[in-house]
Amino acid sequence: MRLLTHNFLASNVKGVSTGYPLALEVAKTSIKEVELNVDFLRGILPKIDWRALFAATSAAGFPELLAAEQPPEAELFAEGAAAVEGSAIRRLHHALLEIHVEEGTLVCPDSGRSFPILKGVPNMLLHEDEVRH
Amino acid sequence: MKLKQLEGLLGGLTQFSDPKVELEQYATGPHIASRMLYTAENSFDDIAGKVVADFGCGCGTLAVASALLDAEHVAGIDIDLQSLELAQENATDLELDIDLIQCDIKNLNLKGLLVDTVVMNPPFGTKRKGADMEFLSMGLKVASQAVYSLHKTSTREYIKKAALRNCNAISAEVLCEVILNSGFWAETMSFASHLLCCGSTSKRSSISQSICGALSHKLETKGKASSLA
Repeated sequence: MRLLTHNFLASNVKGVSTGYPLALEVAKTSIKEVELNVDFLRGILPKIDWRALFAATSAAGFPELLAAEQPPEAELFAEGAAAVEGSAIRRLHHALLEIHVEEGTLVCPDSGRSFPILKGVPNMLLHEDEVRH
Repeated sequence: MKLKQLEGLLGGLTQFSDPKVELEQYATGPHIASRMLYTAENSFDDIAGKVVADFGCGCGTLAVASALLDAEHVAGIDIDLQSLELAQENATDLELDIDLIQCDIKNLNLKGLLVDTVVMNPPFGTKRKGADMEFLSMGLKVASQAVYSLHKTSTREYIKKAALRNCNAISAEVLCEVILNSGFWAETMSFASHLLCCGSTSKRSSISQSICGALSHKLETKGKASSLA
């Protein structure tokens, strides 16, 4: 599970208000490099919950990767920044698309219900008595 | 990527060896899957560089097709762990990275509007009535751009009406029609999500009709399908 998926995944246990963001506990991660796409990042940035992403990168073992507050767009999308090692945009790209959580747990912030992540796949299945009707 | 090449790669995927009848796990054939995704990409720009979710992904045919057509991020969602493992295997064989989530679509909770496009071959609701509409309404809730979905031709008018009336779809277009091996008709429908502006929707409608013509020509030469346009 990439952290981009974590950024839109929420718990739906009966009775919870938002079920978001899911707290992340990480036992194992992997890194898979993908090509950086500036246009994609520019389009998705306004839809990203930065705090949830920051918390997730920290939980995944990369507390220094992102700034706690979202950097200004002028900095992120500065001319040529994508080519600079360690630039804010490259770190954002790394956080969203290259870090994979292989083993761990997602915890619903409202109910405390935990959802295991095994072999990279979060199990969001609910028990019958947890389903909204 | 060319259509033929896409179809060829999808034809090499491992399918269910023991489909679960109660989940209506019928495979999405490479013929219709390749055309569905190829049209979504080449006519509507809904795949490359986008976040795509495959609802009820099964062995991952549509998810893999999306990744092959350069979707930036693909999430395959299915209730069945064995299907997800198969999808993972299929993606890995082609050196593709897709995310997989085990979840019952009707209990899915996706926040924000991060998903651009939803693609699906949903259960037709023959085993559990209403399953197709659960998938469709969730797809239209989640997708900020469009939903591409396969349905039985006999349910076309019902699905169209329900999508427009109950699920906030802006438009519902039939893109192509294909005869499945089992003998009944299935078709790809495209639904413009509620966030699409009206202007692009009317454009979408005219494009999709011309695509129907093009598709039908190609498909008819194989004697497998015809267009509705």
